[in-house]
Amino acid sequence: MTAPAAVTVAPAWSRILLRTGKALGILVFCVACIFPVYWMLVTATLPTAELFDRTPKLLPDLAGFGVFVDILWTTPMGTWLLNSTIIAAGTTAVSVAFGVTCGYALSRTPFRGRGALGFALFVTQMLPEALLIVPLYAVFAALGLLNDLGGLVIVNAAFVLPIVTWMIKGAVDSVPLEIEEAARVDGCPRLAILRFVVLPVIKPSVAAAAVLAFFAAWNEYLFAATFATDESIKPTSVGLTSFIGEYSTPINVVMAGSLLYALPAIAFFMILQRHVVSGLGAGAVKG
Amino acid sequence: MGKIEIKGVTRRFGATTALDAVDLVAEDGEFLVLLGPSGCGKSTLLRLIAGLDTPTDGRVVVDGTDVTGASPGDRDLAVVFQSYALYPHMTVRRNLAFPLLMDDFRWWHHIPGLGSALYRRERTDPEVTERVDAAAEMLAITELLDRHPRTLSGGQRQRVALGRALVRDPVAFLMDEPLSNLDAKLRAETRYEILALHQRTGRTVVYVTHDQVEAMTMGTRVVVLRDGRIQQVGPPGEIYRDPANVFVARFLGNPPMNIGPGTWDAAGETVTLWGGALPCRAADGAAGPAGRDVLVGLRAEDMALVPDTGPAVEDGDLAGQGFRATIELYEEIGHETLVAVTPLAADPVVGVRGTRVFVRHTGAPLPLGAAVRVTVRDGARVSLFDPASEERLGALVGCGISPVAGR
Repeated sequence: MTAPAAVTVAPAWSRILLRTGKALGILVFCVACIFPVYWMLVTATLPTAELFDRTPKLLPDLAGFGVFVDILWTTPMGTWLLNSTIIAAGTTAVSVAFGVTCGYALSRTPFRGRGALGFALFVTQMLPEALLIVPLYAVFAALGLLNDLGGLVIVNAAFVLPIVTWMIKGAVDSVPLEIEEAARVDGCPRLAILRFVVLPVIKPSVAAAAVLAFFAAWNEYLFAATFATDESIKPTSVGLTSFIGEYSTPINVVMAGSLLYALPAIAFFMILQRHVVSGLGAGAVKG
Repeated sequence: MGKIEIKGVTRRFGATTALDAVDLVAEDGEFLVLLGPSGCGKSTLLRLIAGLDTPTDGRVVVDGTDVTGASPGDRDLAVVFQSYALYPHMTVRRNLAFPLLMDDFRWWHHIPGLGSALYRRERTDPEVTERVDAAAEMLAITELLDRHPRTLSGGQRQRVALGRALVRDPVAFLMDEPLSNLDAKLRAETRYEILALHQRTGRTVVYVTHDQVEAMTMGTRVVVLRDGRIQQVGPPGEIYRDPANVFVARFLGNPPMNIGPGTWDAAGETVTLWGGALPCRAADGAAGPAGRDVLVGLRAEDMALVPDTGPAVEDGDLAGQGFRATIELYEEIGHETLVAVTPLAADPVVGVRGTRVFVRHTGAPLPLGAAVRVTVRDGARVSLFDPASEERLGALVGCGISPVAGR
């Protein structure tokens, strides 16, 4: 390390103050992030009557944890979560598979209109979803894709794919071309170069793109609410809103459902988070 | 095996012509160096041989087989890149084994989860392990086999890159400035390693460089390229001694060959250069282009200088020969001294002001700014070039002072 000596001889108390300040700042930020989730947990466990007390309760009611069991047994929550999982997993698989190949082609293959195509992909992100819902409904009705999990996968993938393609293109751009040329000389076919040389190098970006695609599909509401009217096809985002009744809304049930809804997404993120590490690309070529 | 023929190869990128109808043959087992300044097309030529690029026109033939349209993997050539181009996610062992493993590539390796089957033979196949171990041992990287490229130093990475080329036992090695990313000491070491590799394998090597020292010390033959055209092909000594044109003369050698406008008087057996007479005779009985303006080329070691002490010099060793100059700077390189002098006789036509002439000086040091006489050494090689085309016309032999007299 070649840190200037002046830094190391700074007065100890100022360093302690700085560290304490940093720690406090991080603590406040963490609390601000976690508190809404915690508040959901508290609300989920309280009886409806106590929710509207003048003095809000800050601790969850242990007796109220039964609501999580109830919601799984008495409502179609399980089906909804399964649907959400299928839609999100399908969207992730489709958009990563196509995004990697499209992004690679966009980065590496010179073809007429490459720049225009890249720009067009970008433009798709500027269209509001609500604008497309009516024409898409007509198309999906004609194709028989309404009330179909596959249909929701297609529509979600269509919206996520441009972003994933751009992310992958950016990642492939940073991979030295010489690595691929070395692989070509080593007798590696084109697709195998992508699979065994490029893909492992851009793995962090692929993982990040997968997380993005998964959450986009997992949280999607508008298309699901419009295209999935059948009870057995509803994902959780749509299902939870059906709790909201005309005269009363069981807040604790909605909160419990929301917590259950968040858990698989968090799990998915934590699994992929390990792979979102950079620095793998170092060492390929002279740095 | 290992004969590479390039027949009338042209490569154009849009309006620019990187290679212009190049004909070249790399004989089996030869160490052929492609030398030239950046942008001369030497790397393009190497990429065309490797198959990483296809020529606009012409053919590439390896061992009698036309490979012009063949994919790089089908040519059985190995490439060593300037930037090493190691696979960053693989260990050194896997980097070395990769070309061997690709022989067994099957489509189902693409299926997620089954891809690792591709690497199964890395440790199980005795042939693969044997060849990887042999290559690693040859390059002394055995203890690095389980490390990743990012943990290696530049020199180690380059050795791994050499190993990956070696492991396949290709018909020829193609190297694209493999040493230019190394520091001076490592460069010299790796240079010997590459030479040893060439001698041990006996395979053809086509080696691209812009460094004339590498070209001179490594190549059995050197190809000098400029603007996509071959200037000269030959053994390094020949190119150094008898450059085909002014460009080659100036590009090869350190310092570059001194070139100035002069005349050759065959009857009087003198070359007039910078207002001085240099006694010469025609080499090997060749008449030479007498009585016309020429460009005279002299290497630093072919010239000698003595202090200009007026009439004393005239009566002494020099006897009226040599041109007058002043010493501009000294450059000590170990056992000898390189002196840059500026000729005094400013010819109003050609104007030598600012011309710097390098002379290898073995005598006692002279002060900066000292007036000297510079003449040709006895037995020196004097090259003559055409002033218009700058092509070689012929050579003369100097009959000036002997090295001893120059002291």
